[in-house]
Amino acid sequence: MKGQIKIPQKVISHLIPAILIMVVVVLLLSLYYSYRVASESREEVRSAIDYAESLLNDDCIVEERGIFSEEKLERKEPCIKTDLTILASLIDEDGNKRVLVVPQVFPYRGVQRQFKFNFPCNIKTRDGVVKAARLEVIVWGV
Amino acid sequence: MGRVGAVEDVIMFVLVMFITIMTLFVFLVMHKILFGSDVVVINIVFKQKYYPLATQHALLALLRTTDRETGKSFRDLFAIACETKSKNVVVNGKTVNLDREVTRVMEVLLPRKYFKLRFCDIEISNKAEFKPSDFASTEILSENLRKGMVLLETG
Repeated sequence: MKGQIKIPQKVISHLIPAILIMVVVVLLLSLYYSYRVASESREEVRSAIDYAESLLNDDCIVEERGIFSEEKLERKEPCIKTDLTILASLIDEDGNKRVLVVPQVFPYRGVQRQFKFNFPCNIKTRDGVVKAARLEVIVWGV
Repeated sequence: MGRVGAVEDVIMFVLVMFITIMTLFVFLVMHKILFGSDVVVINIVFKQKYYPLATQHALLALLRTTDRETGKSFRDLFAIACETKSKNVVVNGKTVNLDREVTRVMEVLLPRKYFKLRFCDIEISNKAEFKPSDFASTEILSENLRKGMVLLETG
């Protein structure tokens, strides 16, 4: 039986390529994860914008497209429901603020970023005056 | 002897993996603490077509809004201004300063945004020079049923 001679290899020669490969793998995974999260976040923001546009045309609170009815807004029973995590408020030119949609669960703000969008619109009062207003929508993303 | 070598390789591989992951973990955490951001950050970029049609909504909302002094809509006031070619419109003895009133309403509709409104050679804006990022236009009829174009630029 012939004796085998094992040539000792330095640890460093194993270590450097392994570390480089691991760094690349971890960074690629991190990039992929960030991309997935950003995609989901973008979809969520897009849904919120679509929903806000639909609010401007909702018979339940709107008299005609873009003109909210004060009478309908002051109903006791709320008629708007959504599962989206958004905060929608109607602010008129006198500074009055009506909250239309409240998120069921407020996100943890330390982690997530706020996106705020304004949708210019009007509010028609009971005496027929059309006031300038804006629908302010806040949605949370990463 | 060969089996012993393989075991050594596996132990070495596991050790290297552990050290690398721990080093990367510490690096990522330290980067977040020191610089306040992740190493890999992907910003959400919206396509222009996905933005809310804020300028279009603003122009229509502005035209529909009632002026408190005269009870007339801004569409009617612009129609009168098209004939008189003046920013001061007189209705039932009451004078409306369109420059001031339009700026006030636009601050409600699109707060903290620059705008430039143009119709019938009249221009109203809250900043002399700015780079517009969006615009909207529509037609109005003057008191003499002449067509005029209203253009709103925002930025």
